[in-house]
Amino acid sequence: MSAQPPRLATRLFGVFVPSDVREEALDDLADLYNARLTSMGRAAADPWYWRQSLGFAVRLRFAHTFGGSLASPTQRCTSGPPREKTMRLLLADLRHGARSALRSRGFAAIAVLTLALGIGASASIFSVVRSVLLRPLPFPEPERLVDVFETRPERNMFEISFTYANFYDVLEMNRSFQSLGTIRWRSMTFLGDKEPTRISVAATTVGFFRALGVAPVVGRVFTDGEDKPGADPRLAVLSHAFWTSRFGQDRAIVGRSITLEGEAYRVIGVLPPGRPWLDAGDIFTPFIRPSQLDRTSWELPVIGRLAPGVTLEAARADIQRIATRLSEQYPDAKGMGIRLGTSDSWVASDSLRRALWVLVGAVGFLVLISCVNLANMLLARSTTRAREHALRAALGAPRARVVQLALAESLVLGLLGAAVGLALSFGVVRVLRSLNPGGIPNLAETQVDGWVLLVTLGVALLTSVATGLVPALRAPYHDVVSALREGERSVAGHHRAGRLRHALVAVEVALSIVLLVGAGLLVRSFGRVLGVDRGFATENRVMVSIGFTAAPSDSQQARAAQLLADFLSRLRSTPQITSAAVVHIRPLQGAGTGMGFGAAGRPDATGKEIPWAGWRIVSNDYFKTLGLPLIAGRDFNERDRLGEPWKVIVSKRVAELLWPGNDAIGRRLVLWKGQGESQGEVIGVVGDMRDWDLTDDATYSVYFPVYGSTLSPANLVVHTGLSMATLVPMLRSVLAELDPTVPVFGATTLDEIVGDSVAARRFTMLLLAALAVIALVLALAGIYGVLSYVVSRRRSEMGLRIALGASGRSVLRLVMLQGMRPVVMGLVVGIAGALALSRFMTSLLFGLTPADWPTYAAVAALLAGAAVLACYVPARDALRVDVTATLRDE
Amino acid sequence: MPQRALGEFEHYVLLALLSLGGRGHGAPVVEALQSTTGRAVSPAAVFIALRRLEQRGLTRSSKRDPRPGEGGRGRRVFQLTPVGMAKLRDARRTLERLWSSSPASDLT
Repeated sequence: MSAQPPRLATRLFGVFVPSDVREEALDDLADLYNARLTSMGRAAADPWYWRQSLGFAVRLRFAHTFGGSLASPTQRCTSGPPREKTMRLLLADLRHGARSALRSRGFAAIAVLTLALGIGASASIFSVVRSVLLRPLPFPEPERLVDVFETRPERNMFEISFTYANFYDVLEMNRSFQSLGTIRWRSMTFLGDKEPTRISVAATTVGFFRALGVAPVVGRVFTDGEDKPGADPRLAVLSHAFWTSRFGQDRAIVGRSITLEGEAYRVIGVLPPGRPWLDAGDIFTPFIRPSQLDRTSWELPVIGRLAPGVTLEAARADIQRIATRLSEQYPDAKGMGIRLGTSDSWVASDSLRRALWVLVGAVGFLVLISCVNLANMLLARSTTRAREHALRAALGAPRARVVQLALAESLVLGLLGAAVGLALSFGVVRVLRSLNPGGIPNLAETQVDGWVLLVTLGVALLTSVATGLVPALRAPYHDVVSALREGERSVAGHHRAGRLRHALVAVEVALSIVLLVGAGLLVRSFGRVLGVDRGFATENRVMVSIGFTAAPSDSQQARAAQLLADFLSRLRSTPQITSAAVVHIRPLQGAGTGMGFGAAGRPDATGKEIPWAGWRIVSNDYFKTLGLPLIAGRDFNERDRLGEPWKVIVSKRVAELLWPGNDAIGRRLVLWKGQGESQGEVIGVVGDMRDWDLTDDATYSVYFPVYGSTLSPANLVVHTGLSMATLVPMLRSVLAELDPTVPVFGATTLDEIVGDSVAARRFTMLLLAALAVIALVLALAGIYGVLSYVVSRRRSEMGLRIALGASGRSVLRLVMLQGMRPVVMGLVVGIAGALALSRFMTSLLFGLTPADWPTYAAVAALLAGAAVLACYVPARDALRVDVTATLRDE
Repeated sequence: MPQRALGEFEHYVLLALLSLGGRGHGAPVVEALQSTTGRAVSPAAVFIALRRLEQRGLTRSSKRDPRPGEGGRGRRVFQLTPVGMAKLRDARRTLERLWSSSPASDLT
């Protein structure tokens, strides 16, 4: 009789050795072991066996890996080369998985759908993130690109544009930049082949394109000297979009001339597409250095490219040295600092970045939820299939094979889920693109690309393995006999599996609570933003831009001013128009013209800090048209001219800040405080409005009269009962009678302007809310599934209880309690988690804190209520147990 | 299969197989080698060599059921093929020629 060699060594041996020769090698070793056992005894044979088996295993593995299979050629005829064999085995496993999915179609459908929701959502959000955040800037070496800002730290201003004089000084004095450039936006009338249109024209210095490293598609960009005083300003570089839409990508456009504002510009080149900067304008012209450089008006955005080898820190030190010198040298630059910002902000603003990462987190949670759900379903099923697994084990399938088969099943589900999810995401991405709120760069180009496919596949594989492994490892391998005997009916034996399922439900609930709280906070913030007192009325208000030409000479200016006055008076005499006025910047653009201000003769009125006001040039009736109350004094009239002596109307907040409790009318106001300073007389006080952004406090506003000047373009506000469709043609015809060359564009209602200003916020809110709803549905499905499973397993127990006289209510209570226990646990954990995680959303909220208790209460109530329902349905089924039938089954 | 000279260890393994009557499975070959060379022989080396020799056509193998008391799932029995025999004869002839031309042929 042969003795058994050490079992553990044999087991280990089996792990390493290629399967095709494993048995033969073990038999050889066993023979030799037996010979040693008889001649030397166990004490010598066992260590020998250990040594030999390990050495054997390693050598075989090496020989197999580097020299090919060791199996006998005769043997290999039947089994094929090993790789092919594994492949065939895998295919066979997958076929098995597919067959078993087909066998239980309902189960498979729900599992695939669960996964598809998670995977589809993650693929969609990842597509957006990839397109918005992860796509590199279209400029070479973007890490060397920087934003350059002036700062005034003692005035709490850390990101202001450059003054002309400071820009040219920094340009000449710096030692850190390879190139430095600036840009100035205008809008001009372009005379194409059709009617005149307004286009966006940007004047750029030579350094601007050089900093970006732009290689023109056709022709050239500006070269040295073309931005020097006296150079020809009438050169044009076309943006790619403008070139495409207006000239059909005609390469012969270079050298031809186009007409802007009545003057001929020579086209010298075409830019490649490139966001930001290059796509922002239609035409780029040279920025000629003015002969007089102003040091008080912050107007120029500046960008730069660091010289090779210069670090951001070194550049900061260099640039701060310049700032200090300028600050000492010029009174107007006093307190000046300079800040460098990385070009990351060109990709996406901080709040957008934050919003997208919150969405990514949410999607991660959703994927987890669908994983947990699937694991739960597979777990429930694996219990019912315990007999099948036990049978396989009894027939000699190694445990690894049983696990492998179970994994193959979840893999089939995972791949199907990924396929359906991807199909979903194609649709979702299309919807997202069409919902494009603006303000989210690159959203329009978002698509499901190879990367997304890859990530999705990765997620699917991970999900399948993670979810498949849980039940596979729990498959009853050790206790084959009892599993075979009891099969599906074993109840007590699955107590631990039951606990695991309940824990999974708790996890699901907790995860969805976090998502729901996040969504709830955004929804409530959104409500607050819309409900905020904006100060102005939006109903029946329409804004239209009128493209009056900029008028360089005095006589032209007088004519243009007359045109505006005539236009307004004609409109006001139209019966359907309640009132009409013009303003130089539309409300809610997120920014606007501003200045420091103070009370004349009382520098201490506002303390050390210089308050910042938005200023607007308006015609009379602007306040009436917008519904702002005139609190004191009077509105502008045509005798109030723009310029010295300044007559101004201020908002209520300005008056209360400077002259609290006193009449502001007739007081003198310091304008552009710290930037040159003029004085103006207050002739009126009007109500406050949130002019820049709904989420900012009501703006300190200072209004100047339009008279004596022109606006290019003028933004017309009309209070009218007419629809846009009738109003705009009417405006066109009124204007055409006065001057047919003036374009009318950009018609929109004030309601739409308000809507646009919150569009990005709405977008994020809708997305997170959608994810949260999916999470809720999945969690409810999970609760329902587990409980109905439990009920079906305990049917006979229920029958027995009822037969023994338990009331329906008590049985119902029993089942409900069992179902709700993990829900309550999940609620507690989820709310704690939400409290911890929601502070990452602080910057996305408005008017509430991340610990806003009504949100938490509402979410908890919603989930608990829904969970009760999800528990009630299976619990009620438990009551419908046919007592006699179940007892007979027992 | 390209013709290639026998390695020293392969040579030993074939000779051990010959000493077993031209056929045998792994363990006896190991034992035979160990007893004639007086050195420890790695079972793994023998195991691999037997199979590589088979792939070169010098041995062939068949599976037989375990004998009573043997345990395991059967043994792969290797047998010298005519090619293997010819290879051994060649090797021997080469060696003899080398020995006979050596001035130290009276060494033994």
